[in-house]
Amino acid sequence: MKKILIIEDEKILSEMYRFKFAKEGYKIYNAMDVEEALDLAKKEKPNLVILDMLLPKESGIAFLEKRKSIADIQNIPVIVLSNFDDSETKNKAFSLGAKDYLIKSNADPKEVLDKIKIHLK
Amino acid sequence: MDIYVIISFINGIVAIVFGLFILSRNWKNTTNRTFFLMSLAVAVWSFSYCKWLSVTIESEALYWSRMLNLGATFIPIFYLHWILSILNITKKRKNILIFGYIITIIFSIFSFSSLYISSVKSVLDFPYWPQAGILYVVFLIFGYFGLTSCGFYELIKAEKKANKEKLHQINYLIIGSLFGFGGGATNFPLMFGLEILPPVGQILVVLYIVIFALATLRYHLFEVKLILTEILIGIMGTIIMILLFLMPTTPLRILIGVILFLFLIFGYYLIRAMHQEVARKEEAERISKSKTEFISIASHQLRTPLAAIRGYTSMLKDGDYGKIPDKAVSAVDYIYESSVGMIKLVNSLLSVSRLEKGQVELKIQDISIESIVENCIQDIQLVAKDKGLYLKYVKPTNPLPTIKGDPDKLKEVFNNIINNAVLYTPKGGVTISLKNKKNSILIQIKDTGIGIEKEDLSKIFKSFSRGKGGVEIYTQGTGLGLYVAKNFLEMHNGKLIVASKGKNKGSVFLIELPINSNIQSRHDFVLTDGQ
Repeated sequence: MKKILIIEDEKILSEMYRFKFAKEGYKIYNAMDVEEALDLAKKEKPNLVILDMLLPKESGIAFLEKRKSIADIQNIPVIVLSNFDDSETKNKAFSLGAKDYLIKSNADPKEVLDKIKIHLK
Repeated sequence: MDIYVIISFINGIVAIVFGLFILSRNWKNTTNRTFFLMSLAVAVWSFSYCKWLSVTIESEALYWSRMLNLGATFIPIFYLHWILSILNITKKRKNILIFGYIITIIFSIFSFSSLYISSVKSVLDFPYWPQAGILYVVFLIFGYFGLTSCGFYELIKAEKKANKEKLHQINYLIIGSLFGFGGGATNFPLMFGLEILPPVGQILVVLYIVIFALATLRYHLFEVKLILTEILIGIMGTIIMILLFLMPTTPLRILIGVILFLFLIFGYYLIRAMHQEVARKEEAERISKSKTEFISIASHQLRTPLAAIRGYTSMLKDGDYGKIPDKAVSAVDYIYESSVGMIKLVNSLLSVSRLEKGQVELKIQDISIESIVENCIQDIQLVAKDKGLYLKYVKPTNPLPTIKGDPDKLKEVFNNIINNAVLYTPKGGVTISLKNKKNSILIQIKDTGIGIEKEDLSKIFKSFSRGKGGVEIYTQGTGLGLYVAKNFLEMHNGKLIVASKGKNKGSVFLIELPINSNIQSRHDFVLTDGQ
């Protein structure tokens, strides 16, 4: 069973994605900030990470930067799922290895699921 | 010889005017104060220079030549102090400053002794040129050369690690220093009886004052209009004041006095009005900036609950929470559609605020206009069918060449116009045709809808404006779409033309995109309402 780590601090949304993805048969882990996310990723080694940008304490970019130096998790595909639509942030995320940058409100959860399936192949 | 009197007189006036001007800006600031002191020293030197060249008795010439050198003695230390203050290193170089002041004061004490200026002698065309004494040589080495080089050295050092803004200022200062001290130094050879050339550098001295003043006013470097006006008023006022004293008779004096008075009042109001205009412009920019930032923040924050509404209703529709009662299906659909509509509005608001902030980046690729247009038609097909409208697509006679552009932005443009066509057409339909002209591609969207009335034609491209008919028929239109569309097209060097025969007579939107054009990817857009 494939594991997905969702890094999202808004409970309503993390519950929504967790519900939808779990229904598809994925095992879901939730983290609310970068520190928790790194610990969880190191422990569980998910197959894919869903990353929000606007997080408490540090932004999602920090997750992308910090994981580069951790061997176990540096190659896990990361899909950014955020409402922050700033081109500078987008470019930074892609340059740090993010595979995709989706805007939450522009996609139904099932469309996010389709993207997940593409990147999990 | 007269020419040197005139040049020096001008040097003196300009030095005083600029010195006072800078001081008046902020008399508590060390930079402004030291500039004033330096200008004062230059003025003493300049006016004494005039007097010295104008007298005919040797003892008077000696006196004034010593006077002008007294002024000159203070220039290097005030210059150094001023430079160190601009570069913010007065504390670091405290020792050099103290040393500089001490030796300057020592020199000034001796300035009227024969150790400093020993005598005046006839050289070239000048009858009474001062001759350097032994102490003067010491001054030249430690003062004029020494202190000035320290300042120069610090300038060069700072130039190496300056950021763009400071770099400008420092370059101004370096050039100004070269003019000023280089020009002034042309006076020295004659002080040693070296009849090389007359002090041709005198004329450069006034340049350095102007350059320095501009460098000091760095915030106002962009308000050149304001500075020049103030300088002009200052100089004119001074000249009229001088005329006042030169007037031979009392009635003329009174006349000039009245003119001076009126001139000063006029000048004061003019300068005040200009300051107010600058302040108003800055305030307006500040307000506009905080407005667009607010829109940006609000849009991002609005997206979160909208994502939740959209997400959960889409899952309800998908049956993820079990079967919804048939009666409830359309209700859930309406909630979903409404949330999608709101999301589109928020996206438009964000686009507009980004345009206003001036940060749009085009992702330029090779694109096929046909495929983008065909995509848009597919997206709107269901809606058109529901409304009972026809959707005709006229293909180009030959396949269109690929052009360079941002596919997402162009899709947004086409979507917007095609959507509008369908939404504002109650019956009939929409015809979309593509044509290949010699240097451009034409996309025409014609509808049989409510049309656009003449008075609205000029307004529809402005942000937040919709034609009168539009308000009645489609209440979800935000009036932002065409504004964004026009701007995106312009970024592609394209054009958007609208025509309509009037109310209920349909409309035609014509988009023209050049085939080979230089598109910039970064766009700094300063927005005014589109025409």
